[in-house]
Amino acid sequence: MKIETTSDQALGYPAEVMGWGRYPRSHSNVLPIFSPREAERALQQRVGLTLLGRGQGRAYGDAASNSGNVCLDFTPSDRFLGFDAKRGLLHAEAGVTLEQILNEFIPRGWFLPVTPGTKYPTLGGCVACDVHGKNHLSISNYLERLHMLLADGSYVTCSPKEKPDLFWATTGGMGLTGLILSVELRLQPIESSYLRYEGIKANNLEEIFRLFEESETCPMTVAWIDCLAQGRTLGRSIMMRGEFARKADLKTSARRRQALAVSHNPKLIVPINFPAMSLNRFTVAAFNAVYFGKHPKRVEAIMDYDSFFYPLDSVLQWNLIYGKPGMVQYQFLIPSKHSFEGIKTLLEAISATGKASFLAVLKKFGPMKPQGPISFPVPGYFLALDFPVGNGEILKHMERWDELVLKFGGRIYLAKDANLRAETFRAMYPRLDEWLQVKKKYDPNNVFVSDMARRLGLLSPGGAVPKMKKSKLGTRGK
Amino acid sequence: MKTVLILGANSGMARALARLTASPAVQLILAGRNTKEMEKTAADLEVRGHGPKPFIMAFDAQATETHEKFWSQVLAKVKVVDEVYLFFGQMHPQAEAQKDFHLAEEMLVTNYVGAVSILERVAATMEERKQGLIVGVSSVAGDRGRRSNYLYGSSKAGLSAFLSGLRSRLVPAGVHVLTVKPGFVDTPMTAGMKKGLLFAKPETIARGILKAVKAKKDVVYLPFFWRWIMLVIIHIPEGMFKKTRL
Repeated sequence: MKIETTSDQALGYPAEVMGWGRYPRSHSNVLPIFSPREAERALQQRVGLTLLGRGQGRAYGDAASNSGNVCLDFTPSDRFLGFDAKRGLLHAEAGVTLEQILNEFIPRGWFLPVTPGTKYPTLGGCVACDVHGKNHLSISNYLERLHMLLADGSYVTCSPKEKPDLFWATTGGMGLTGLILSVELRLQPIESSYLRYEGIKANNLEEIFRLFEESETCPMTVAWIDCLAQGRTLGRSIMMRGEFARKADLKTSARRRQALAVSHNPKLIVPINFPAMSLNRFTVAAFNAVYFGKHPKRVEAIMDYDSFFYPLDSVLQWNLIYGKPGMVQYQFLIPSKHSFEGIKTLLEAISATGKASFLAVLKKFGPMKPQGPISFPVPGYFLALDFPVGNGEILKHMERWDELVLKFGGRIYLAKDANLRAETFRAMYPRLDEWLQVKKKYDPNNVFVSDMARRLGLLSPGGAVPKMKKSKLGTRGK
Repeated sequence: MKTVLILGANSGMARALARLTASPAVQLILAGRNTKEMEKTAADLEVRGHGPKPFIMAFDAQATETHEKFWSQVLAKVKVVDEVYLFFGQMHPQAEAQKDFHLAEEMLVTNYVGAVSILERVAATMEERKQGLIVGVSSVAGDRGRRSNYLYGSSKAGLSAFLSGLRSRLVPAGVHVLTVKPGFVDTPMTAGMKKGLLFAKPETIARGILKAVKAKKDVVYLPFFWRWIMLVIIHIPEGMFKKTRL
């Protein structure tokens, strides 16, 4: 009953803050942002504390943590500010989730132009991570304008034409250039909310690469890969291709009448932290063997968008199955030139450690123009794997894999990262200096900082080095 | 078309209630201090296609001298107001308000004097028309003065007592008065409080309010368990209660 207020009410309440992987954990103040005025007040009253915009906390690692400082929780800023039905241009506050957009706009015949594998993140978070999905380009390619609040308290609008340096540094900039208040996003028109799905089994890595090369023109592709397969079957996988079904593609008239249905798939909830032991290499290998064994060479189906884009969302809080120590995701990209060799080498290295990955996803990015300076996508192939943190041994393996990724000119996706070293990161992102110059221009005193920024050196050169209180639970693997 | 006036439309609970109330058959009037923010809420409701664009009117609870004019402007705009929801309220931390009377005064003037001032005018109109609904958002904090929050609590105690009397007065006129007593809610007002299991989302409270309106309740605690918590708290003998740190 006792009302506990912090000494300065404007800077929120103390809380344990973590990403989707539940590793690492941190302690900071969280200030809910209902309107930009509260963010403005935080800028005025922060007295030496650093700030960081935060959404639903769906990035895996420490991207949205700010130990000993303040996280601005934008989830209450969830209003739609305008919709141009002719162009499908949506203007929404940063805290709107992808799910809210889908529920509201699918019935009107519009879908997200890009979506990650979950519909629960906020729009602002998606822009900050420049997320990608099953189609070929990241979200920055579909943005008309960003409306931001900068470190100096000014409200600005940026776009590829207006303040392009700020725009490109913000897409993929992990929230460190300023606060994203609202986003103007171009939606894509759809005739139905169903997809024509095609699943093709590939027996090894050569086969799946060939399938990707053949699928260049297919709007959406991704492969589910068995990381425990070795030798001849290394890289055995299932290619999943899809495109939005036209109304005429829907077989039954009932479906055709409900072509723009919003999915309400039943949700399972993982109630508590699973015993960390329940996922080990034997259970995962058994699962994979059954899954691949049962999958025919080729299947075709009409699938609702929830099943196609968000298979894991049907298990709310699936992250708890990795037990209390949490999980890490390892997502790396090898540029086109060395893709096959690089992916093969890493798969062998990962397979050799015997670390089970429940989920592994392989995908190709086709040709694209250069994106933001520290945005993840470049032409090539990427692989994403989940690992339980367990006793922390995995983190040492990951450091060795980082070296291999770097050898092939590859990179790690920051939205998933919790473990990269600053030197390795710098070598992976050759345009980092370009980004740092923009950071220096718009946030010279490092007002916007995250635990990831401290770890990777995403700080304004010459600016004050912000303090970080050592958090009790935020133990890193080293 | 039903007309609904929301006073303190920028509050977290008001925003949630506006989303649930808006429909093609409802004309909303959003009233509050920050018109720019209300415009965003109005845009949201319009994009969602819930109904006609809400009217936006500047309203300052503390400036009681402006309330007469405000109310006549509302009536000039919509002729009849069917429902009034009062959400505005101010809370400063007890320790700060103890040191600076100005902060205590601000709470008393906003939460009590301001509410009485505007609702008396609303009541007079509805009494004459013999129809209407008044929902006043008070607080569990008004049920008993506690050392950790009695300055805010007493302003809400005043509001609760006022609403109770108003309800009785308006029974003959057939006007329904609902007193809402929320516990802790995730809103800008509680931004500085440590969140725990007792905290509810504004949407939960808004749904509870609409349910209580439908059920013609007089007083509703939201979420429901606060009724039992407060029942215990108000029955602790004063001799004991004064020594607690609540």
